[in-house]
Order: sequence, then structure tokens, then C-alpha cells
Amino acid sequence: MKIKKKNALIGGLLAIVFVMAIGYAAFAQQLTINGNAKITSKWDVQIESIAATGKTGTGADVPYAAGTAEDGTQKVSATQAQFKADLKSPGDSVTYTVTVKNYGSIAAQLNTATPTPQENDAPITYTTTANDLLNQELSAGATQTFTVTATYDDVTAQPETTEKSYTLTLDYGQFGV
Amino acid sequence: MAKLLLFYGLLIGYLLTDVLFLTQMEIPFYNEIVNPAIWVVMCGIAFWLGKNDSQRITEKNDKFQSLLIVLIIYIICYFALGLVFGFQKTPYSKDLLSILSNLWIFGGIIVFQEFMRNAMIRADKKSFLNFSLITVIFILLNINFNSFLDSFDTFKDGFIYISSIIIPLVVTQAILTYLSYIGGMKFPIVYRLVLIIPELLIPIIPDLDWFATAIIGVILPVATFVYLNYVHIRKTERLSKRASKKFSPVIYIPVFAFIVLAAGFVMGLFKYQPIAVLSGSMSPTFNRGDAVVVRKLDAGEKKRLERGDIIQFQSGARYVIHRIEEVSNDEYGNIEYITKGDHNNTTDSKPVSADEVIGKASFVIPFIGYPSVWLSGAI
Repeated sequence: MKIKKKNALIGGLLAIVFVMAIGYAAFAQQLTINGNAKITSKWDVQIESIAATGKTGTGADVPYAAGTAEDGTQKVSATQAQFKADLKSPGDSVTYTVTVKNYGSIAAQLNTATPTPQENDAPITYTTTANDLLNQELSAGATQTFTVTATYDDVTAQPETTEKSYTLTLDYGQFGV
Repeated sequence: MAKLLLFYGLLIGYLLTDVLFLTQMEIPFYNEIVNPAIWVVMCGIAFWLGKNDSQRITEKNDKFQSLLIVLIIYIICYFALGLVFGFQKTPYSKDLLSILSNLWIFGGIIVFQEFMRNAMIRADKKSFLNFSLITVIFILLNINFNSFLDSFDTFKDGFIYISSIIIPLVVTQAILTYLSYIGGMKFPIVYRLVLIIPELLIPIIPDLDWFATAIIGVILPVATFVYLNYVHIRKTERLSKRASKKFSPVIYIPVFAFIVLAAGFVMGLFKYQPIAVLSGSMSPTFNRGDAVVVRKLDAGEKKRLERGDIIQFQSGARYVIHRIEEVSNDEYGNIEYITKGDHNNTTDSKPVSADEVIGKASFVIPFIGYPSVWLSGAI
């Protein structure tokens, strides 16, 4: 292909990129944003471990057995930590300590820690210390820990179900320059 | 030769020091000052020792234009994939100071690394061994050793890591060495910057899964090589039209098209998706190791399934393909399906709601699911 033709082709391709950029800016609100990038070239913030580190009453950690039909996944993966607590009576609680490590080379910070569901109704409630870490530097190679406590609140009426799921979404971003 | 050995010694020394000490020490301003300073020193030594080494590059503009064409097409395809896979926010700050800082941290190291790579190529242009060793050392320099061992916690993790990180890294470093060989340091610098800059400048990038990442991570370097090699050979070897035809990228288009379509088919981007059968619960209709091609259903079709249909549905975190034994309604009047494996004596423990249905089995391809069966067994 002649050089002039290639120049024309490059110009045409750049025009397509330009149109895409305009489209992106115009329709950014309607694009599907799934979440935050987990691992990129130098960005690698991962959950390192989760461990039951405290309990009250008859509360107990229920370990996931490998390969069971419970979930078929690991208890801890790079971006997900799961636990299952057995709370038999009001007042029982189990506390889990989660460790997050920055394996990348760029300093990170926790921007938000969003629980789902937002409402924390009895009988089983969750509390977390993750909010204490907001905007604190997690330098390359360093770790941060926070706890999540599942508590069977004191209630007079017996609940219909004692099962409750809870998701805490951690949004890590680059630490402010 | 002694000069080349010194270059290798510098890079190996840097690699060991960086992995064993520097990244463990939490040195202030490591990315901004310390690491670039080390590279500046190494590049200075390479510049001083290699000032008499030359590199004859023919038809540089033509080759550079060809590289730009490949990279711009890549950017278009990459961001278009976001419309299929969705997008994800990049973690990098987007204020001006952060962008400039990141451009220095990422772009600076790219420039320094490619300067060193080119100095090593110029020191010994003819040796394939040198080409291979340069590629290997730059693979090692670009691996994140902080999480390397953790990436092999399970067989599955290791497989994903090797497929989506290591293999694309190996192929990319090989093409970078080749680009440096045919076009000088500018070529690999532009190649790498085009890959990294969108992450730093644009708030969102496509949210590709590991399989798509692996496929793209291999296709881009290979496509770049096929096209640039054609341009390079045609210009430098002065081949006849007939002789240059066998290097033409046109003959590779069907191969690339097949790979892309096959990858899209396996990833489920189309209406039909193959699913490997991992258990014998549907025997003899289909057996462990077969692949069932499932047609995805829309919301309306999911409610119009009939007894006898074989459906794929989600059960917890797993996917199951069983036959509908009975169609009924739950307490709220919603349609639900009682399912059963043909080989099983009893129906499945939980009814399947219409929302949990993914698709309906269309046809079976015997035996081709065995690689997935072996892999899942190893996992």
C-alpha cells in the first residue's frame, strides 16, 4: 500500500476513533459500568485472607468445605471473601478479620465501603470497621485489615428465618497524588 | 560481547534487587523518583557503551504507518468490545496532577526499558539467541512478582493467570523485541503507550473477562507481527509480487476471523453457546465429555417451555442441564419447572424459576467437551 493511501487509512481510522469518543461522551450515562477494574498492569489490590477472630455466646464460624455444593468457589479469592456464621441465640456474634493487600506498585486508598442491603435490620445485624480505612493510604506491598461482625440481636419475638446475606463492596482507587 | 553481557548483568541485577529488596522496603517516592533514577543510570551506561552501535532501518515511515494502522484498529475493536462486555472504572485518579504523575511512572519506564532493549539489539543484531534472551529478560522485568505465587493458589487460578497474563506477556514481549529490531526503539514505545494510555486517561475501559483478555492479548501481537513482517520483508528483501504473496496478511484473515468467531462462540457472545457436560446425569441422551449447544432464551421464551425440553439453568453458583419433568406454578402463580436428569432416579431438589433458566439445549456434539472435563477434574 502506498504511503499516501496509508495516511488516508490512518486518517479514516482516527475519524472512527473520534466518532467513538463523541459517542462515548454523549452516551456515557447509558453505558453499562460493571464496577472497578480489579487488576491492571500495575494495579493489583486483593483480599488476602479472612479469618474468624472473635465470637460471643454460642456463635460459631462454619467453614466452607472444599468442593461442597455451598458455593463451589473458594472462601477467599482475589476480590471476594465469604463467610458463614452460625448464630443460635440472641446475643451471639462472630467477628471476622479481613486483610486486603496491595500487590501492585501504585499506592491505593479505600474510597467507599458500601453494604448491601443498606438497611441493617434485626435480628441479624452486621457492623464493619472498613469505614475507618476510608481515604487512608495503602502503599505498595502494604496490608490493611478491617473487621465484619455478624450479631444476632436481642429480640423478644423469634424471627421467621435466621439466614441473612450481606455484601460489603470495597471500592479501592489510586491514593491521591 | 562483553558489552552485551554487561547489559544483561545490569538488567538481572536490577531485577533481583527490585524483587528481593526494593519493592519490599516501601521506599518513599519509589515509583516517581527512585525507580526511574535507576533506569536513567542503566540507560546512561547503555548509551555510553553503545554510542558506536548503529541500526540500519529501511522504510521506517512505511513500517511506522503500518504499526499505527494496526494499533488504531485495535483501539477501535477494544472499546467496541465494551458494548458487549460492559465497562469498568479504572482505578487511576483522573485529576491533572495524577495523570501527569502516572504518565511519568508508566510512560517513563516504558521509554527507559525500550531504550535498553534497543541498545541490546544494536549490540548484537544477528543472533537469534540474543533476540530470545532479550525477550525472556523483559518478560521477567514485566511480571508482578508480588502476587506471582498467590496466582497459583489453585489450579484454576494458575490456569487463568497463565492464560490471561503470562501467555499474552510472552507474545507481547516477543513482538516488542521484533519491533525494536525492525524499527528501532520508537516502535515498541508507541506500541506500549497505546496499550497503557487509555487506562490512564479515560475513566472507563472495557470489562473483559479473563478469556477475552487472553484472546486479545495474543491476537494483537500476532496480527502486528503478521502485518509488520509482511511490510518489512517486502521492503527489505525486495521480493517479487508473487514471492511476497506468501507473507501477505490477507491469507491470515480467515484464520483470525475463525479464532475471533470461535472465541465469541465459546464465550457466549452469540445466541448459541457450547456447554461441556461434566456429569453423567443426562446419560444416555448425552454423556460426560459431550458438548451441548444451548440456545439462549428471552424472557418470554423462558415462560413457554414444555415438559420434555432440556434446559440449562442456574443452581446456586453452578449451571445445570436437565430435562423438564413437569411444569407447575409457585405459590404466587409464577411458572416453575420441576427438572430431572435422565439418568437420575429422582427429580432435582428445587424447582427452577423462569428467571433461573438460561437456555434450551439444541443439539449435542459428542466428545469435544472432554478438555473441559479433564480441566475441571484437575481443578
